[in-house]
Amino acid sequence: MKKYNLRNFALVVLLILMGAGCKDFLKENSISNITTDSYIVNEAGYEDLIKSCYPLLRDYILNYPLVLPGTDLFQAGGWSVKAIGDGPYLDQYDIRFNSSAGEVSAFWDILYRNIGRTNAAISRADGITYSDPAKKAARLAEAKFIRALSYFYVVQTWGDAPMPLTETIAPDKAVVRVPSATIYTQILKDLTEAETALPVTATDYGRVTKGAAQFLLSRVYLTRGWNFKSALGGATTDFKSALDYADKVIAAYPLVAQYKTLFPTRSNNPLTQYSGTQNDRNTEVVFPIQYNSDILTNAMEVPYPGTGSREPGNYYHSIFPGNGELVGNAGRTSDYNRSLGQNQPTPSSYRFFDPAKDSRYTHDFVNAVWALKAVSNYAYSYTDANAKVSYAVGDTVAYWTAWNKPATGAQKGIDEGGTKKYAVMNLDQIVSGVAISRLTAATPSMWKFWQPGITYGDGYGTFDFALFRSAEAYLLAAEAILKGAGNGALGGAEVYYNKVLDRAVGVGVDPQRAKFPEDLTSFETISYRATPATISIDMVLDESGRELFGEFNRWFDLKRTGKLIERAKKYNFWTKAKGNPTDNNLVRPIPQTEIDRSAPSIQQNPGY
Amino acid sequence: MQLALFLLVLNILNAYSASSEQQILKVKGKVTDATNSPLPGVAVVVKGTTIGSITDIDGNYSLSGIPQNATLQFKFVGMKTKEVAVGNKATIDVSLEDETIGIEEVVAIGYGTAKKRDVTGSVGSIKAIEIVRSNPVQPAKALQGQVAGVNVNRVNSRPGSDYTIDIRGVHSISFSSEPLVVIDGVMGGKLNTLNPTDIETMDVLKDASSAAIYGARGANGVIIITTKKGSQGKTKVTYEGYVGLKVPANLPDLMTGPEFYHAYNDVVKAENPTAQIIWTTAEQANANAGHNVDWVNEVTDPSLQTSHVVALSGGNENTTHYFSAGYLNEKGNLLSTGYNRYNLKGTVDSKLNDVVKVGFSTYYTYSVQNLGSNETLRSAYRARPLGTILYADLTNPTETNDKNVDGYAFWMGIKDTQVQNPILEVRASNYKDETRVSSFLGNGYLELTPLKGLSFKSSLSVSAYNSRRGIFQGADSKGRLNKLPAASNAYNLNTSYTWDNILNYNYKTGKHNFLLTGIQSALAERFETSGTQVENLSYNSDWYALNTAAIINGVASSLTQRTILSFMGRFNYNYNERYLLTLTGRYDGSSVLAEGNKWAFFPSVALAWRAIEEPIVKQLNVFSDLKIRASYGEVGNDVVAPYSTQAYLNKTAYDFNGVAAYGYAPRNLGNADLKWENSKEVNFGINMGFVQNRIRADVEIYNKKTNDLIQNVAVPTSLGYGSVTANVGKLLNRGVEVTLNTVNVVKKDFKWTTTINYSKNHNEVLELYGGTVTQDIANSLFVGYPLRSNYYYQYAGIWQTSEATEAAKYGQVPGSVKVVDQNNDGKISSSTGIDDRVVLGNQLPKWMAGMNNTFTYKGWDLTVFIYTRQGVQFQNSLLSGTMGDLGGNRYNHLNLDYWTATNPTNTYYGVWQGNPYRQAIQYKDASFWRISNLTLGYNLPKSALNKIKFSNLRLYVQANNLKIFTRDKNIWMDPEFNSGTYQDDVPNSTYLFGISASF
Repeated sequence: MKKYNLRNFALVVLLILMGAGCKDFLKENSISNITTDSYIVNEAGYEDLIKSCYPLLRDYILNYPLVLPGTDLFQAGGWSVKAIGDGPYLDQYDIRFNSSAGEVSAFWDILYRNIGRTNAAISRADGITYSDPAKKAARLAEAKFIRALSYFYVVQTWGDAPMPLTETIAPDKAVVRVPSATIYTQILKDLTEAETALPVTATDYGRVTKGAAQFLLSRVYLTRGWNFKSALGGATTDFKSALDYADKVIAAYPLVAQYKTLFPTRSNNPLTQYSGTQNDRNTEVVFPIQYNSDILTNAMEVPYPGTGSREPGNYYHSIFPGNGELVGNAGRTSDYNRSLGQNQPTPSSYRFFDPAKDSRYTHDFVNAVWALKAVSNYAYSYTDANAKVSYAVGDTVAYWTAWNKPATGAQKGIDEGGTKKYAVMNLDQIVSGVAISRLTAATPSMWKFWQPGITYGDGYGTFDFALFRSAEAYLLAAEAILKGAGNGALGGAEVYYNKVLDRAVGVGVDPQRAKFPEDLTSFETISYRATPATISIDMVLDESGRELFGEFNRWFDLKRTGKLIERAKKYNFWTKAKGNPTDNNLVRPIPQTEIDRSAPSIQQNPGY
Repeated sequence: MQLALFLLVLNILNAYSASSEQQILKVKGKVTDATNSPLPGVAVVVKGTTIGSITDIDGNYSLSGIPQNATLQFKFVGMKTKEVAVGNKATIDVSLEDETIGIEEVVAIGYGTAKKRDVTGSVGSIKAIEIVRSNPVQPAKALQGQVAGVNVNRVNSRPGSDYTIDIRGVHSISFSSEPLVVIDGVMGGKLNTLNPTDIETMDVLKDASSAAIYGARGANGVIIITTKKGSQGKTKVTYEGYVGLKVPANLPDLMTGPEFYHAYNDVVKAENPTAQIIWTTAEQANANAGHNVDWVNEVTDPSLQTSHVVALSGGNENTTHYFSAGYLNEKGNLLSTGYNRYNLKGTVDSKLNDVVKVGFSTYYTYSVQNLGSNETLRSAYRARPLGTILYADLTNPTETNDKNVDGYAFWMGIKDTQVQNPILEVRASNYKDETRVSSFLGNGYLELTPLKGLSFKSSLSVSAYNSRRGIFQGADSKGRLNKLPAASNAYNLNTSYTWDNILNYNYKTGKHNFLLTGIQSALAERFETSGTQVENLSYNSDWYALNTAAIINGVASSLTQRTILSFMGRFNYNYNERYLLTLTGRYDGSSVLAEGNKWAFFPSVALAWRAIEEPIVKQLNVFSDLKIRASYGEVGNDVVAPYSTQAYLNKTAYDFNGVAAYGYAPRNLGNADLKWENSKEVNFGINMGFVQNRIRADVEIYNKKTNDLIQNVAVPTSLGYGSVTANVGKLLNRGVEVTLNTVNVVKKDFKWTTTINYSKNHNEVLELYGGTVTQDIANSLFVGYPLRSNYYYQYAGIWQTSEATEAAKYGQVPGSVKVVDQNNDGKISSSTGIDDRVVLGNQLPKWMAGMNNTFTYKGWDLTVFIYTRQGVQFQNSLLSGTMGDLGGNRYNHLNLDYWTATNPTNTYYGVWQGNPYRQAIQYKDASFWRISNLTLGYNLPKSALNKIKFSNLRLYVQANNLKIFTRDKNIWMDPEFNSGTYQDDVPNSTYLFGISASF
């Protein structure tokens, strides 16, 4: 061993002789990469850090499987009366919807990833000097708003949750769940501070504004007021705060005149498609998630670097069912959207609308599909090989009747003994599970967000997604009033409610919806205009269902109001037939990955 | 050895043609072997001259013109060379002894060579003849099953594809366990740039004491490649070549058209009589007619495999040279895929005078790999067998909006737009994925020998590995569909240099023999990348006009650098050829580790006792050879990605009202504490020979403990990050390796030899995070279990109809997968405390073995090589993909024995059942036996060779990967690497005809 030490000594001497040369030789100095500590040192660097807090918002709304299906409005898969075996676990809330469900970890990962960014921004603010202190305060407020928004999604989805508030510098496997009430306190603290510092109009359209903070404050107070399982630290005064903030938003963000203005301009017939510019800015939008036509900045971020790539842009035009593959289609083009078997409107959902009077019904649903290619001698029958039909370009190939006007006899398609040389589908046939012929069309497309002229596939949408718009503020106000906040600036809850309805059906018009949306055989109707006597939480939820159909909110609204299980079991056909949601399902399972990665393991929610 | 013989033969030929010198003496005689059989073809040469002869068929020779005081040398392959002084004998009869394999072999030990008998550590070697025996495309394949303790696995079945190698178990889940490859002294070379035919030896340094000389980089073992060099003598030309067919073989069985139709009509209706199954008119017509399309067969073909290498070697007493040129063409079975490789090698060594020697070698490789579409094979496996190939055969193409592309039905008459006709996808005009590699390895050295025993060598090695990958997706490829073509290119420019200064001092006094080696080494590597990705090319320009694209959607470039600085010393001491000692020390600095942790010292000590030299052992009359070895060594590992110690930023993209808003977000957690992973290994070895070394057995036992194991650790994502590179714990690799060489039969014309190697490795995590936890599920680390463990619910069969009530308690129905409720709490849960998941097995082999049998009869030889790997468990990629997902009728499936109410099997679950735990059925034992190589060769006799002036001519036929045996049938593409169908080719066998010639 002595020998070793000598050798070691000799080598060290040699090394010292080599001196500084060695030291430089082994120094790591990356040219391609810049360290956080050397870049986030001044205004320019800090501006870039703040900008990096925004892109993941685009990923938030891609977590729609936790927000749309499993509710009264959407199902994860097509349902039919003949369905056997298991349906989608997102609707059934069964043992398959457990901690290993990818939907759960995807949302968790992306929220905390962005919380990490906002924490870095908030932690590093002290060391940065801006020439304009107000600008710096606004930037810090943007980060606080985004952190609050992220924690709001976290606490609604999982309840008690980890709450890191400073930049993570070193790994720590000990993950502790903080009580929901503490998280709400933090959210409100961040939001209140942000609201003070934020400008009414942002330096760049798309950044967080004072109005956005007020909107979120309204929703957070409202949610805390409901005080889920008495665990949020809520009080009835929260409803008053919710109403006050909603009123501020309503005053500053007037509704646009027409519902369809809020969404991409399009023609219902692809053969005469609109190809002009799209305008996604209007007075109603409080906080938009930005999209654009530059493929480089419209890009999506991936969950973690190197784990694959995603198509850029807004996905919402392609995440609802479509009818791209009917006879006479033009192949894989976006003319009639895609046929994704996800986010199917529940059969009940159509019946919440007055098809004739409600402009939202007209805007949201496709009722006819035209042949885009000529088809000759199409053998449409399963049984009679000689039964054929031909189409010229522009001929109707499928038609869906309104729920309250089912076709019969000669009004039906030739495949059902009628005279129309295309499929005529009544709503009950969509769920019958019986394919009448090769003409049978699937569920009518839901194309509220559909944008013409963009590339076929996931993504590519360029139209901003309005995460908050003031129509919702009216409904938040109505809800707050119903919960005892007292009348608002406009009056009672029904006033707020009818303001939203008026825009959709016209002032004074009395729209009729199915009295029993869940019973497809019943054609009994009921008015959905509110009066002080009729207005209720359920009516507000019906209206938010119509107004905000498919916008990233439903599961949270139902959970907040304690109506999720009741309404899903009533209106969602999968949940109704095979589901058994319990109170445990009102929070989602902590992802298995988080349990497996933490030590000691983070506690799972009950029932999972 | 072979080279020496070639030279000798040349000398002999020389002697015949040249007019001879002064004739003084004449000698004749007979040469026989140990069994007294005559030996034809033995070279008899007068030592130090070019005078010589060859024995005839009866072993007789005669030689004239012999100078006085001459010594005759008798040389024959596989026999010990014998020297006899002529004196005044006129007849000299000689009996030659078999040369036992390996005894006088020289092996590389890192920065030098040693006689195998003097080696103190654990080194496994294979020679040229073993390397090329089965004509591997890549050198790594040659090691498979041939060296105990070396686990070699192919990555996929595509032409030119790589192999992974680990030696004595793996050390990492997230980082490479690849050994260091040293090619002619150049560290970090890529094995797959070499033509196996150019390799003289591959020496594997297995234990830490052997690898310690490579300190920092030896943690995973070292493979030292020595390429062929010239030797003195007249220039010799050799040719090695083969041509043959690669044939799809051992393919899994898919459902045929009728089976597929049955599975989704009869079975579904048995479940639910009113269920409706909708086929298009085209599919229905095909079903009615009993048609079946084997799409895999449509996109694959038997393909060509051929290789040709010509080499020149020679030199005089001062300068030797070796040049070679090689060409390889391996076509893929998948149409339009293939791999072409061109090699040029040049080596010159020159002794300028007694003091100065210089030399250089260069190795240049150019290769082109065409892989075609990632999607082809997957589409071929997915496409329904009821599809229609030709557009003209569709009764009504408008039904499926089918498209006529060059006569083919684009959608195959199927109403599904996820899979398109694979015959179109496979076309090179539609999809190209081409990688061109230009690789250069160069080494130049200056060696000074100023005094006897003292030498100094300074060597500079340069490596450049440049590659370009181009991808072109045509308008009719799956990724595009109705869009204009897309393309991308990616360039890599990897360069490194190593500067080694080596001082050797050899001193002998009496029975003491000392060798001192001092080395200083500096390595710098840089990796440059650059790439562009575009969409909507206006015309088909591959990736050669990216500027014409409408959209440029990706531009990236990067530079990564790493450096290592080392000081090493080695001390060899040898007393009387019996007692051997090696001491090694290496002091290493690595750039990629944290400041303050960059430097580490790696010592080793090894002892060996050549017991056979002891009279007492000789007198036992048991051993014909006996050597006992013991070693201890430490090695380090710094395989982490450069820049892991600091936190960096990532560019992000967003916009504000259409105006670009790029930002920078924290990308990773820096680990400022990252330090060397350090392994300490003890190795015991024994080399034994029995019955005049006709039986040789080598046994190695080792125990290697790794501290501060470096892993990419998944961390709780609530921290905002996914992982961090960190030192996590302790790992054990413990094992035994046995190599057995036997000469089973030796008769006059017949010989049968067997080589068996066996290795067993036990891999176990000993400690995690300083002993704070016993498991880290997220990273699949469990104290007491191996790395790469499979952790999931344990499969317990299929719920049967009779168990419906119990199944319901678990929310399950008959036909679905049953898993073990480990804690019997009535529910299946993965929550902490009531976790029913267990370690099911792991992906590392429990043991491996290779067996080679060689039979020679006169000029004929027959070789059979069998290889096995046992105890590997994989989550089978076919079952976990769509091929095993019987729930839908969208894609075709494996023909599995699935559950139905009337077929209560436990083999596979039912078609319709929701299967929350179906993953449990996917963990399968991937143990296999493979008939790896079968070769029948014929060597032309010397008499015939002499006539055609060849020194050697061998013809052979061979079959590679003839047959594979696995426990579960029909679920593997290849159990060696658990291949799926995406980014892959079909498994295959090759049938080759080859020629090996020299003159």
